[in-house]
Amino acid sequence: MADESSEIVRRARARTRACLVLAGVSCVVFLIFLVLLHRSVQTHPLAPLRDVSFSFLGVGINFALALGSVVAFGYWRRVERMRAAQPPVKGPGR
Amino acid sequence: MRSPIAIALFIIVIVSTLLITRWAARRTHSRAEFYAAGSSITGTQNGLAIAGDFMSASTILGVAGLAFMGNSDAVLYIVAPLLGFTVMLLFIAEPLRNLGRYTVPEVVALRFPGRAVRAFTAAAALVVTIFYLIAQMVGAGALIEILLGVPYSLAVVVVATLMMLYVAFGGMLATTWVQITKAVVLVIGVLLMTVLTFDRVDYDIDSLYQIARAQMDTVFTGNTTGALNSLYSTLSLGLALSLGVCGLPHVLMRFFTVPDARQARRSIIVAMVLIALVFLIVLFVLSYAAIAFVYGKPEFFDDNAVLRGGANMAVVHLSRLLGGDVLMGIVAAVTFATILAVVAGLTMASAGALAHDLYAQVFRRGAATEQQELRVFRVATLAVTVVAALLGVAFKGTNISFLVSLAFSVAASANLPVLLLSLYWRGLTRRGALAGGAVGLVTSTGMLIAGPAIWVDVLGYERALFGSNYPTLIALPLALVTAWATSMLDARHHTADARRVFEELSAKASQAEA
Repeated sequence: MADESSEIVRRARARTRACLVLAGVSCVVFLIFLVLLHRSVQTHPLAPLRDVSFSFLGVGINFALALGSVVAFGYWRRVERMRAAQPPVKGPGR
Repeated sequence: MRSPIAIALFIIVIVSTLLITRWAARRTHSRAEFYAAGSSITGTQNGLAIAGDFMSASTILGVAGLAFMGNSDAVLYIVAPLLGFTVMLLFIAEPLRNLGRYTVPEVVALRFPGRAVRAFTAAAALVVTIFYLIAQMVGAGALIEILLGVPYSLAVVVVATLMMLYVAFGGMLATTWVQITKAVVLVIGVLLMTVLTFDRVDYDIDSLYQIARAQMDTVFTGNTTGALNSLYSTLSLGLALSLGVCGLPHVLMRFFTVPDARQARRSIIVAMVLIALVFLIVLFVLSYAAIAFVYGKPEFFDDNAVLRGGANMAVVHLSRLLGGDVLMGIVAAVTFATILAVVAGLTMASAGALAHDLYAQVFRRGAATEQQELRVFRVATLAVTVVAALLGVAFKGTNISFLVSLAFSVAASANLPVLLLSLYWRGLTRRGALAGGAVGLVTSTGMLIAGPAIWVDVLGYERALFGSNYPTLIALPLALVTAWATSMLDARHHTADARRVFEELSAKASQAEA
């Protein structure tokens, strides 16, 4: 029981690290987009609204990353479930 | 703007939601049913309800209104929340579902049993929901006043009475189905307007953008005064709008309504897809359509060339232009349903924090019976309703976007750090959680009060003490650093017992998938 519990915690920690990477990438891209938005407003107050392709690309990339993270997380969870469902591999008998 | 069709559709919305409440009331008896609909909601239903809970009238009408006024902040308001939902999915949804039953403070209290942390997290949840509730009430009063021609105060009282009925009698089940109904009609309404917009430009979106750009060049001459003008405000508002989502108690509370962690994940996925769809349409179709078609139509402007009902009504005017009184009636009814769904969720979260956390656990130390707690829940619902209605009337005319950003800032700075650190940082101590949360709460509200929106516009001083209305970029890191520093100095609480509690909670938080 204790082994099972520590295995769950170990898997959860590995997952948290993967999640940190996913969230980190999304956050960095989001921050870059914010800076670009700010810079575009410096050139013209309406720039983000006038340049639809810029805004659409920025919003699209951020949305795609968010939904991509969701898919990646779901896939990770599915792999975890499949591994958990497999019977443990028996070592050579002594 | 009063039209018989709009009034008829408003009545249909009210009758439908009351029928839902009657149906739910017959199925809602126990504490688990009141707070969490007996955890009987499926992931897809909950996703629809989260979308219904999150997409408020101020979000939909406010973003289009910002764009209509030539304020580029509209892009920021659209892009930020989806990052918040990603963080919620990756770090919060599953542990919350696995550890909690009814409210968010309950989850933090598992890590730090006793009254102090629970009282603080419940109070912080109350602050956030009340601020958000005021924003919704102010928006509801103004919108219904314009759409139906009823006085502002009466409109606020009608909305408050309806939200009290949903929550006090139908509990979370009624709230959930009101939110699902709202999400469905909102998506249908938005899609209908999109098709009619495309039809107007012969399904050539480029021509829509060309017309809108031509209008922008004619109409907007001066600089707009949005957050994007300053890098600090851009980053701070972006942080508040994204991470604030993860600290909104009425959204987090929805994860207790599903049976397991898998359904909690599914909820967010459904919610994110729906929110992304609606937000993209609102920004890239309806906002541009409003700029392209509403400007230049004198019937929508008063004698001072100001849009009737203010910029927030741009989408409503657009609907009249695209589909006459029928479509305007539909959009008005969708807006009304939107308001009702959001205020119901907020009331549920406030009353839950008052009855379950503050009354049953803090004051009665867990000794209250289920009947007593449910009685207090109903009284709390009534109290929240009265307070929300009074504040809604008192704050008439206040900038709604500011009130919403206030709620998001406090949620991001006070609620989120305590929740995340409780779930993931072994070294957090009780004092660290309290100090971090308190610093986040005080700093965010203090800086908001010292900012131009309150210090200058409300209190009438000449210069603001703090130059921005967006405190999150300072308040959130400060809360995290305080929690860390206090916990590190609080060495005597780094005991083997504390480590064991953390390990057990970590195991339980991930258990459902094992």
